[in-house]
Amino acid sequence: MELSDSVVKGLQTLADPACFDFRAFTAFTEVAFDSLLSSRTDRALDLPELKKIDQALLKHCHVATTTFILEGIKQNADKSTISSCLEDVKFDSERVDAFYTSYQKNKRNLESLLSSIDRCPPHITDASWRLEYCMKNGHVHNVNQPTFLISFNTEDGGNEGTSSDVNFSCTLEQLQDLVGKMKDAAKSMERATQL
Amino acid sequence: MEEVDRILIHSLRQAGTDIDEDVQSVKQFTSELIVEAVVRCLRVIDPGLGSGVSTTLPPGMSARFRLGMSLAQACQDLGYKGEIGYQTFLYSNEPEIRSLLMFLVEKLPRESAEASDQPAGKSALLQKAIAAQIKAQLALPWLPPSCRLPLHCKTQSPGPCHSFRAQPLSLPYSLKAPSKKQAKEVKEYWRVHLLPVTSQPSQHASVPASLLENHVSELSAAQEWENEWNSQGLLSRLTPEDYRSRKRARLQKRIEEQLRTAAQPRPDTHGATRSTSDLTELLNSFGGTATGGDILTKGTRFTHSEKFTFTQEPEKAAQQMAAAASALPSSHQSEEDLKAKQEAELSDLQQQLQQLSVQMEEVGGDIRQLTVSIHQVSDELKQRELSNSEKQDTVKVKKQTIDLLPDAENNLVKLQSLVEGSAKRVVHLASQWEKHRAPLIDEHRRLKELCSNREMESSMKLSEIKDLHDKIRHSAEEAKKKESLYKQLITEYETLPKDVSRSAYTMRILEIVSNIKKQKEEITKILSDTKELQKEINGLTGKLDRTFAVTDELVFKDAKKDESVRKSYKYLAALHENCTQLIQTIEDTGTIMREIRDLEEQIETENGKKTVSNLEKILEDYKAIRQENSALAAKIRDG
Amino acid sequence: MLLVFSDEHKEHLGFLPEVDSSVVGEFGRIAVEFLKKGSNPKIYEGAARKLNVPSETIQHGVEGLMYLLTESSKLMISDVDFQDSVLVLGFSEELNKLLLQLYLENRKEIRQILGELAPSLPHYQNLEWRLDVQLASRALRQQVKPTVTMKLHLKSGGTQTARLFQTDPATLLHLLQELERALAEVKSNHCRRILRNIK
Repeated sequence: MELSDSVVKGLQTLADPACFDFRAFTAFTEVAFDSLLSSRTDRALDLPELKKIDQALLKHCHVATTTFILEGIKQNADKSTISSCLEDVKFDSERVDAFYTSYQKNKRNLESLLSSIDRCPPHITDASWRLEYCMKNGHVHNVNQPTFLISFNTEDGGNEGTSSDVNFSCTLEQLQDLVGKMKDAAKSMERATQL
Repeated sequence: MEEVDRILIHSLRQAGTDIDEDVQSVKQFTSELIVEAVVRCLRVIDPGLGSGVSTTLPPGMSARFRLGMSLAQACQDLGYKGEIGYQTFLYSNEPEIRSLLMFLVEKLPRESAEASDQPAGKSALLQKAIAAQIKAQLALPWLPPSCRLPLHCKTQSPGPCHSFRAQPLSLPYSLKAPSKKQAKEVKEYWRVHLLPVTSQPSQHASVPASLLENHVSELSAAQEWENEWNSQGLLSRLTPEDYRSRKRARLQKRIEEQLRTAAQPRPDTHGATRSTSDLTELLNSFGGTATGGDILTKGTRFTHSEKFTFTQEPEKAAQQMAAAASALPSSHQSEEDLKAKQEAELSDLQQQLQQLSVQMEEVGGDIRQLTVSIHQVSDELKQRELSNSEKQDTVKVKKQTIDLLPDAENNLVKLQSLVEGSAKRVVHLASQWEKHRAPLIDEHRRLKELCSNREMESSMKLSEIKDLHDKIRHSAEEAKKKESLYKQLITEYETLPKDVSRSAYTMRILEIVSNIKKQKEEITKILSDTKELQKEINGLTGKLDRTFAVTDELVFKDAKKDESVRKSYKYLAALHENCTQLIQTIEDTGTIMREIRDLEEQIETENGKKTVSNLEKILEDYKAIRQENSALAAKIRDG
Repeated sequence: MLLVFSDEHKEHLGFLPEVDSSVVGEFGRIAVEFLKKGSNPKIYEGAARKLNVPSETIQHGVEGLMYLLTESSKLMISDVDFQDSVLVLGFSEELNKLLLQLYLENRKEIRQILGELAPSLPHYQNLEWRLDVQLASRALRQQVKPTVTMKLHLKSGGTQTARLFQTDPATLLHLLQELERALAEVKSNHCRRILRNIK
């Protein structure tokens, strides 16, 4: 994992026991993870444990730590990578372990945070159908044909998860065609599992 | 045999034959299984040979027969020496099948086995990961959206989506200057007003994007600097700071030149005058930082602009910072309030701006007029001074000549001697100078040489340093590659099945070898025992013969004299005869026993050939063929 | 079921016996053509000049034929009923046969055209699909996210629209199950009984 000089400097400060005693360190890492995951972080650094530390330095460390966490998640860094990076910036083993435990604890949530930076078409979540038998309409009598009304429920992640329905009708043949094509898709998917 | 069978079955499975878990030895192989195994092996050994044959036994008898024949032919083509025909497959017996399978397994190409030892490529790993992921998702049951667990939420619903929207962040450190050199106000801003980075972006969703982007831009800037430093900076033999400052000066100069040429005053356009004056001011401020000292003494408009920029700077900075701070979203103010406030502020500021610009223009006009007049006055002054000093000089010369005029002749002689004296002195000084010059020139040459040597050395060292840099980069890259390969191999090693280990195989082979050795020893022991026994037997028979001959002679001699002895002689003869018979019988029994054992063994092997069951099978198949034939005949008749 | 003609309709059609049967056949062809593609008044004028009658008469005649054809097709009346209905008009035997033939030949097509007029939801046209696996994004490298992307082509009236969706493997299987259930429903006893009895 490549780190910029400012991040390295921030992490070195964090590793320095003269700056951060262990209590302050744990409180600070907790805050760093929380500030990424929760949206109200204006006063996040106002903790009694961190009162003694210079605020500018503290903010620098905060930038460095959050950047490091995000880079780690982005690259899917494992334990050895994380610990070798932290040892390079002079973390002692106690701090490395403490950091990695929090990292592991928050990894899932952070991953979904990063994977939410994405765009995708509406996601079909469910389908419902109705079978109708059309007898006549204003223009034609004696139609006598079954019609399927299909509705796909979709969710759109980009629009704060609003769900909407797509409705359309099919004749019997058209539904058979639709089902056949979806079956093809399902089959090719199952084939993909057998590699 | 068990070991052999296990190895055989393992290799057959690798060749693609589907063998049940409960099949442990070749004895349990059915005809179907044998055919499948042989065909799979053939396909692996030579795709051309095996592709024409199906892996399953066809139902019709004649088709089975043909399949057996073609398989036998294929095996013979591969070089199988043993007896082989359709019966080998259809009416199998264990030893034949075993030898055939061993032959085929030995023929299997080794490369396939070696290829599986190679680390799987990245694409294969990826394929596997994809397959695993799809499988995992398929294994989850579908749930209606309203009752989804977090587990399902990840895959079965799209989740929130944002675009990658990065916003500039205000950071509590500066990349350009060390924090000690920062202005006090900036530091104050960092300490008191700056929000933590995670609350700076207007939407929380753009926090990660902004942080990541910030990091990437820092990294790329560092990399660019590294590249430039390695390619140009090192060659310039400056410290990084010097290099930077020199580069900045160079750039500033270039900008200045460009602006100057672009801002040539054009008197015809009235509107341009303001902008050009602004430009010249800007240019002056550029120059001001570089050559501040000179300008101060001159006391022209440069000083004004200097003062202006210097006094304005802290204020401006403070204003900017305040603006930046207020631009950041503060959660305590409602948006409308903010808007109204901002509008009021805006109009206020605009008014101020207008007033200030009007004032500025007035003052600027004044300044321009004044500077023009100052210029004129100072030019005039200079000219006057120049003419003044010239005039003073001429006055001095004229005064001296006038002083010398009264005693003209004496003074002339004096002057001549003075001239001669000074000429001599000049010659003297020249010779002296020559004397001094020669060693100095030598010294100079020497130093020059030294200098060039030094330069050579340093350039060599520079190139070495460059090489080293390259090497370092290469090694780092290689190390990275190796590390990733190592990781991949480790994971692969962990996923590999542990049951078929090489060491177990070699252990077993060694065991077998030692067993064979032991057996061989025993065999030789038994052989030597037998030999010894034979010897003993021979010795005993000789002894017996000899004893008998002696006894016979003695008793025979006495028998002529004594009747009772003759009887005993007869007994002796009878005894001898009986004993020989006995020995004969014992020997006969031995041979018979051996024969029995031989026969038993033969029976065993015959039993192993499954003759009875095979015969039954053959009978059935014969019947089937008859039936097929008759059915065919009937068809012909019907047709 | 018999058709009931209004007096106006009768009057319009009354023009037909006055012209040659081949001309009536031509009128019939034009009527069917107009039903398919919309009317074209220029043709009326051309015919009017040829036959030397006012173009309005021609128009009435053709429109009368069109109405006759649509009404009878809409009700799907049998050929006997058609003949009986036309009898009221008092045309010649030959003309009646001509009309019957016209009706029988074009009934299916006209019904189809009429069917398109019925109000309906967008209609399924086609489905395209693709199996995607998302492997990395700008903010998250090394991910494996299989999705099935689908493009659903729908037709509403004369306009074709295509919509893009995606779904995950498990949901795809569920959708498939659900739609197969719909297909199976049409073959169920209940459904078959209704289909049989309503004809």
